[in-house]
Parts: sequence; C-alpha cells; structure tokens
Amino acid sequence: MRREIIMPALGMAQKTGLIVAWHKAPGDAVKASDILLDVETDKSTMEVEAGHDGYVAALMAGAGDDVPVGSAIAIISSEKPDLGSTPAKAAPSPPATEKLAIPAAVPAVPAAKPPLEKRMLLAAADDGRILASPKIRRLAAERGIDLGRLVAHGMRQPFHAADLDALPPAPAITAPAMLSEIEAMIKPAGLAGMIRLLGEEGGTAGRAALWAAFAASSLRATADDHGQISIRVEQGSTSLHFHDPDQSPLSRLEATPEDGEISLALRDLTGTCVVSTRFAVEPAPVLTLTGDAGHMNLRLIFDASRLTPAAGTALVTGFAARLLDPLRQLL
Amino acid sequence: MREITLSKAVNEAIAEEMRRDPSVFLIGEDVAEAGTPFKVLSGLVEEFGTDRIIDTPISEPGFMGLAVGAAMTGSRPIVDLMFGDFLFLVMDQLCNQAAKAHYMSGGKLKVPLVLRTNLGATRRSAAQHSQSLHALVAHIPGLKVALPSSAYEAKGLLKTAIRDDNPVVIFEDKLMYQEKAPVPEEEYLIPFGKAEVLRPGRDITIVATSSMVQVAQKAAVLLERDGIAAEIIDPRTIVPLDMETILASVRRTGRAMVVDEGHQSFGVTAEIASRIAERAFYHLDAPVQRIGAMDVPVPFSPVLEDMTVPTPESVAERGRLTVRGELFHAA
Amino acid sequence: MNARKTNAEAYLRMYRQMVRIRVFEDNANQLYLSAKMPGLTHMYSGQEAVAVGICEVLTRDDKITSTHRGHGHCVAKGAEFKEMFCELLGRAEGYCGGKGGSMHIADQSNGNLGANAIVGGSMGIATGAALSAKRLGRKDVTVCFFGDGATAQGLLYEVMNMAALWKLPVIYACENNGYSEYTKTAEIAAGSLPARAEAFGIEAFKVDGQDVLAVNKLAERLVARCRKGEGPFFIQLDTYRYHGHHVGDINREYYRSKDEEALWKTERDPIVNFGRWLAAEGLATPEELASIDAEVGAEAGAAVAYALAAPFPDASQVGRHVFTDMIVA
Repeated sequence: MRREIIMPALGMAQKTGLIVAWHKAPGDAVKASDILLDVETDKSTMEVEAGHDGYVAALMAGAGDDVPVGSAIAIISSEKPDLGSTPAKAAPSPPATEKLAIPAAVPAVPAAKPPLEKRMLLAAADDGRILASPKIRRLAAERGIDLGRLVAHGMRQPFHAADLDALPPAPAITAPAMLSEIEAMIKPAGLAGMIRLLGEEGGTAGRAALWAAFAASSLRATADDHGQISIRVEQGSTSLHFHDPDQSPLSRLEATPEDGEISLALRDLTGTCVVSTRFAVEPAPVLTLTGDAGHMNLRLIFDASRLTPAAGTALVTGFAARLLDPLRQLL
Repeated sequence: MREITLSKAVNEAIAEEMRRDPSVFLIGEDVAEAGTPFKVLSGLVEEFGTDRIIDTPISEPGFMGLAVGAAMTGSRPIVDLMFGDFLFLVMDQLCNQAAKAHYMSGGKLKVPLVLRTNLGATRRSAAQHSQSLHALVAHIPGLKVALPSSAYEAKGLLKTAIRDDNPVVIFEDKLMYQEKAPVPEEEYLIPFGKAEVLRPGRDITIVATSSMVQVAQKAAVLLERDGIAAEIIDPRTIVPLDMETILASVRRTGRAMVVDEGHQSFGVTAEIASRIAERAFYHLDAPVQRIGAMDVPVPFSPVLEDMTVPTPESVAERGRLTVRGELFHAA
Repeated sequence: MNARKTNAEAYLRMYRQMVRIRVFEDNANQLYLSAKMPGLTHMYSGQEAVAVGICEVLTRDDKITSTHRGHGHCVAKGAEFKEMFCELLGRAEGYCGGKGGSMHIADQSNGNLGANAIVGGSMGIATGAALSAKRLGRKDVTVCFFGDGATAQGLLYEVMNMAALWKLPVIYACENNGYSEYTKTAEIAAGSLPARAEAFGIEAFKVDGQDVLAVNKLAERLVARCRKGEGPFFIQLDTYRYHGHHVGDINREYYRSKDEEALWKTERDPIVNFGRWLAAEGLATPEELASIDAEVGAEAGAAVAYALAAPFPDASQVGRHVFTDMIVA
C-alpha cells in the first residue's frame, strides 16, 4: 500500500510550506510518529510526522522547495521500495482533488497616489473653480444658465440656488422672426450682352444701377401705393444706394447717399463661389443673386410682416422676367 | 387625550405585553420592589411576581447572557440595563452572542430579546453615567435600535420591540422619564423603520433623535423668528433607518442638519449625513451639517457639561448659517 | 446481569458514538491538513467519553451549549455527519447553511444551542436556557460544556451565582483536558476547580473523563436530580486532548511532552478501554466492535465525499438571517 504524504496546512492563512529539511531518505523505514520533515510556515518551523508506518518510497520535493499546501511531497509504502526503479525526487504533484473554489482574499493593491507635484497641480487647478452648491449647479444646467454670469455680476461665492433668482435677466434676445424665403433659378441668355453694353457705358456702377432699376420696377409692380423706393445694391465691399431707380433712364441713373429706410437690399454675389447666404435679421427684404450670367440663382428673404408672400413672389418673378428680357426695361 | 409620563408609558407597555404573552419576563438589577432607580417599573412586581420581574445580582454580563439563552429557548426576555454606560459590560453577550446567533446558525436560532437602557447627559452624573451609546450597537449587524423621543413613542416602540423576533436595543432618554405627553388609552404599536415628520418646513430638514428631538423643536421656534421654516424628522429607529422620508424632505428643502446626542465622531450624525450626501447630493444647496455631543468624556461640572451637548441655540445658529448660505464664510 | 443486558443497547450506542466522534475528527483533520477545509478547527479526539457519557442520558429536548472544540458534543447530541461535514466545508446543506463553520455549529433540532468561539461565551446562554425551562414549566435540563481554560472567565461566576440562587436545572460540565490553549492549566488556575462552584453552594463532582461508564453513571444521577429541581451541579471531567489546541499546533513540546501524550493515547484511550470492557463482559465480540468501526468509517467516508461535492451557498444568502424579517443588501 502506498500513501501520499501531503504538505499540511498548519497556519491559519497558509498557502505554501517551505521544506527546511527531510529527516528520512528514500528507502528508510519509518514509524508513524517519526519526524519526516521540517516545514517552515508563518515564520515558525514545525516538525511533521510521517503519520504512517512503512518505508519512504519517494520524496517529491527537496529541501528549500516552497510547496503549495495539499500537494503530495512524499510517498510512504508498506513494502520496502525497489529504489532502482523509483526516482529519488519527482516534482510535487498538485492536490489530487479539485481545490476549493473559495474566493481567495486577494491582497488589495493600494491605489497609486499621484506624485506630489501632480497633486499640487490638482489643488492649484481647484483655485479657478466656481464655488457653487450641487443644487444650483443642477438648476443652472437645467435652465441653461452659465454660472459664469453670476461671477460676472460680482455675486458672492459659493453660489446657492437662491442666487439664480437674484441674477438680472439676460439681455432680451428676441427670437429671430420666422423669415420667408423664395428661391428662383434662371438662364438669362440675353443678360451677358446687356451687361457688356452697360459695362462699356457705365462700368460696375452701371451694373448696380441695372439691378436697382430692375428691382425697383419689380417691387413697384407688386402694389399701387409705393412711394419712394430706395434700393441698396451690395457688390463685394461696395454698397450703392438708389432712390426710385426705375423712375429715370438707366443712363442717367446716379447713386445717392444712404438716408432713411431702404425698401430692398440686393446682394450681388454672381461670379463668386458663394452659393447662398443668410445673415442675422435684416430689416429690409434681401434679394441675393448668385451664379453667373448664364445660370443665375435668385433668393429673396423677407419678413412676412413687411412684404406679403404674394408680393414677394411677384417681386422675384418680376425681377427674373427682367433679367430674361432686359430690353423690356430699357424701353 | 390623557397625558402620562414617559416612565408610565414604559411601565404600561411592559405590563400590557406581559399580560398578553406569558413568555415575556423582565430581568435586571433592582427591577422588582425597587422598580429601578428611575421608578420606571414600580408596581410591576406586584402584578407579575418575582418569577417574571426578576431581580439579579450586579452581574450585567451574567444576566445579559441568561437573557440570550432564555430567548433562544422560548422566552421573550426584557433586559433592564440600569444605565446605557453599562453596555460596555455586556458587549460580548450582546454583540458576539445575541446579534450573531441567528446568522451563525443559518437562521435556526432566534434571539427575541429587548435590551432596555437609557442615554443622555446633563444629569450631572459625570462620565460613566451620562453616555449616549446607541451608535455603538447600531454598528453591529443583527441588532435593531429604537430611540423614542416622547412618552407616546416610548410605549409604541417598546411594545413593537417586545414582539420582534430579533434582539432590539431601546434607549430611553433618562431626562424625559417624568415628561408627560398625550398617550392614547387604547392599544397601539409604532412600526420600526418609519420616521415621523414632526413639523413641516420648506427651508431646512433637521433630523433629530431621542433627546435631541425637543432641542430641534425649540431651535425651530427660534429659526421661525428669523423667517426660516425648519422641517423636523424623528427617525424613531436607527436600525432599521427610514432614509426615504429623510431624503424626500431634503430633496425638497435642499438643506439638512442631523442632531444626535451621541459623540459626534463616527456616530449617528455621520451615518445619516453621509447617506444624505450619497443620495440627495444634487438637491443639496448647502453642506449637510451635523451636531453631536462633543468628543470628550462627559464632565461633571455643570458649566462644563452643558457645553458638551447640542442646545436649541447652537442648533438654531447652525441652521441660520446653513439657510443663509453663510457656512463657508463663517467657517 | 439483567441490568447489564438491559443496558447492552445503550453501551453499544455509546461505543458507536465515541467511534463516530473519533472518526469524524480524523476526517476533519485530514480535510483541514489537505487544505480542503477553510478556517481553523479544534479536535475533540481523546475527550469522547465526556460528550458521549453525558449526552447519552439527555433527551432531545434537553439543551447543551458547546465550545470551539465542539464537534464531539454535536455528534453526541445526535447530529448527522452529512450536515456536519457540509458545515465544516462551508456548504449550503450544512447545519448553519455554511454561515457558522466548525466553531459555530448549532443543531437546534437536537437541542444543541451552538458551539461558541468565545471561550466561556456560552455559559450565560446555558444558564438562560435553564431559566427559560424552569420559568415555562418545562422539564428540560441544560448541560453547559466548557473547558478548564474557560474557568478563568468571570462570566462563569456571575451565572453560577444566579443558577445557585434560583436553583436552575443546569449542569456545568468542565472538561479538564489539562491545557488552556497552549498553557498548562496548573499555571492559570489557582485552587481547585470544583471549589469554585462549591463557593456558591453548588454540589460539585470530579470524575474520570476517560471512563465513559463513570461519566454516564454520574450524569444519569445529576440530570435526574436537575429535573426534580435540585440543580445546578458542577462536574470536573478529567480528560485529554490528543491533538494540539487547534489543527496545526503540532510542535507543542514546549508545553507538553510526547511521552505524556503517548501515555494517554496508549493507556487511557476511552474507546479502546471501553471496547475491551465490552468484550470482557461479553457484551460484544472484538469482531462486532470492528464491524462498528468499519460501518462508521464508511459512513464518514460517504459523508465527506458528499460534502466535498455539495454546492456552496447561493450568493443571495449573504444578506439573509442578519434579521428574521429583513434582508441586508
């Protein structure tokens, strides 16, 4: 009969035992009460008895080996072993049965502290923070209010929920009125010649005057009661004003200084890469021209309270008709 | 409704439960003819005899241990511990035995006992007869802890405690024994784990226990003069603790203060304040405040002793700073 | 002769129970040494006659309280191997659902109010159980097992005082194995142990704790007297623990010699000696005794195998039984 001798668990939290020395060698006869080996554990050395009568058949771990508890470290046989065929030392075998699946207490790795300099930096960063209660932070976030505004108003920190009520209302931001928009696209075949003609006679101012005349006559056709019509034409960085440009012959049309409210702004972006624009609220309707003389886009943006949709449409179609048949304007 | 003293309320609770259930008995020092130094139990021995109102030698660990064994075997003992300070004498029996028996036995053993004792300073009784040690037992899983703040609560909570199948420690405020409060003639129980809102208020929640409930109520009157409305909540039991009522209040008021007569460090105020911070953080408009007894042994000299416990004035002052957002600048 | 025949069944039961304790402990020892058993444990081997001699006269309703060296009391009071090994290995089917372990086995169904890991911790509980029985008019007797080391705890004197004052049906069974953990009892106990009880007017006795018949006979008399309201009593039972204070306390020559251990094991073993007596009296043949040994060995082997394969408690159990009516999250 062969009996395995295991590394005993002797300490309360022992996982391995260090074999200090074997008192018996393979082939030795042993009694159960004989000291078989010395084991070091928990900083003390213990003598382990053989536990069985017989012969040491094999030692499976040597002095100095640290062996998991429950592992076989020696074999004691009831018959005298034939040592010729038994290796004097074999590797310790792991515990024969499945080890307990007890969650081992994993020593907690202490969270690394940031180095001192880093911690000081963190502390310094705190200095710029706004001191405010959790509640006012939550309320400010819900209402879309930047706590920086409380700082700007010189209110005392830390801020509390009541400080939101004491904050003067923000400058009234009138919601942008819903603007109407009409877009048209034309291929004004005769326009290029017309512009060339004008260019020979009046340069760019001539072109601006043409636009102003087309716009004013189109606008005037939308209603009966138009008084003076004042058109501003924007071309790049220049901006020219015309009073009733439809009332005088094109050749004699002169730009005038801006005075009073304009009736329509005409933004000429033809020949540029710009396709479309929409700026913040502009009081007068804006007619933007993009594209080129062969393929032009018209875009009228206006406030419906100043120009009815019908009038806006009439303005755009009238202007387009004039571009398609410029001579009609000249006659 | 009739008014009776807290002492009488406790006496009635014990008598009613002993009449109802023959397994209930009371054990402690000088509980029979003497009726305790506070005369709380006067008259009980006449009705129930020395077999059920059992005078013991001055052996607190001994009779506490007896109660644990009796509770395991079909009795429902009420242990009378003359002063809360003597808890330190019974710690092994209470915390290692009573508190753990049900758990260690996997639910096989039950320990339905009540430990009645008291708390509270300012009786000029010095350091070994003045402590409020309820946090100490509340720290131990397996013990329920009740803190009545009036005669009404003392009766209702004690009756519930006697019927509970777990060890319950109930602390009476020894300064309140002679204070009267309305207590109905008819039977009632007060459930554990249900806090009571004693006074509604919009500006700050004051959670106050036992002896500190009256202090908080007086503080609330002082605060009212400054236009501050304090809401007062009495948890009535700290194990189990009704956090839902406390949190609902704090989320409404945005401010909280916890007042308890135990030493401030590592105690009831710390526990409740941290639970508020954990679960109502985004509703807090001010740091949670806590006021406990000073971290000193209770001194004898009245001048010194009065400095160690919260007062209506100290609670009101802290409440004022909290509501006005001045804590940061006052600190 | 007639009495002996009537008692034969009881004698063989005592023999079997002592063997069951010894075999249980041998298996527990192996489980621990082979790292299959968590925690720490204390062997009862050598003291079997004490637990068995006393528990043989107790009814199921009688109560005992036990100690950190409690497996023997638990077996003697009627516990099953399967539930005990499951408990030792922290399995769901253990007596305490795996929440108590070796040092806290309680078996309420057989009147075992629990082992106790605080030395002397159960003296109050035992005395309280006796108070409960007396007050509620029951005839139960409680036996409080504790070691010689526990006589150094003040609680003993508080509760013996009350037990004597109120004539409670409790027997203080002091198992004097000669060692208070790693120290000779002679070095920690002044005067005599029974004199401690006698000071309260409690009748105290000394008995050879290795002689199961002597223990049993004394216990029979005292338990009967307790039931008649003549308690409490104190017994000093001189015995010997074969192992160290706990499993793992193997190099102990600094406090006791190997010769002394060998003497007790060879000359005074309670099981061997009782077996010889049974054979000599013709109550059992050596073969019959050997077959009892074999049966118990097989029972233990099967229980160990069962326990090793048994499931651990479900995670949902961790917050249960803190209170009877609330689950801790």
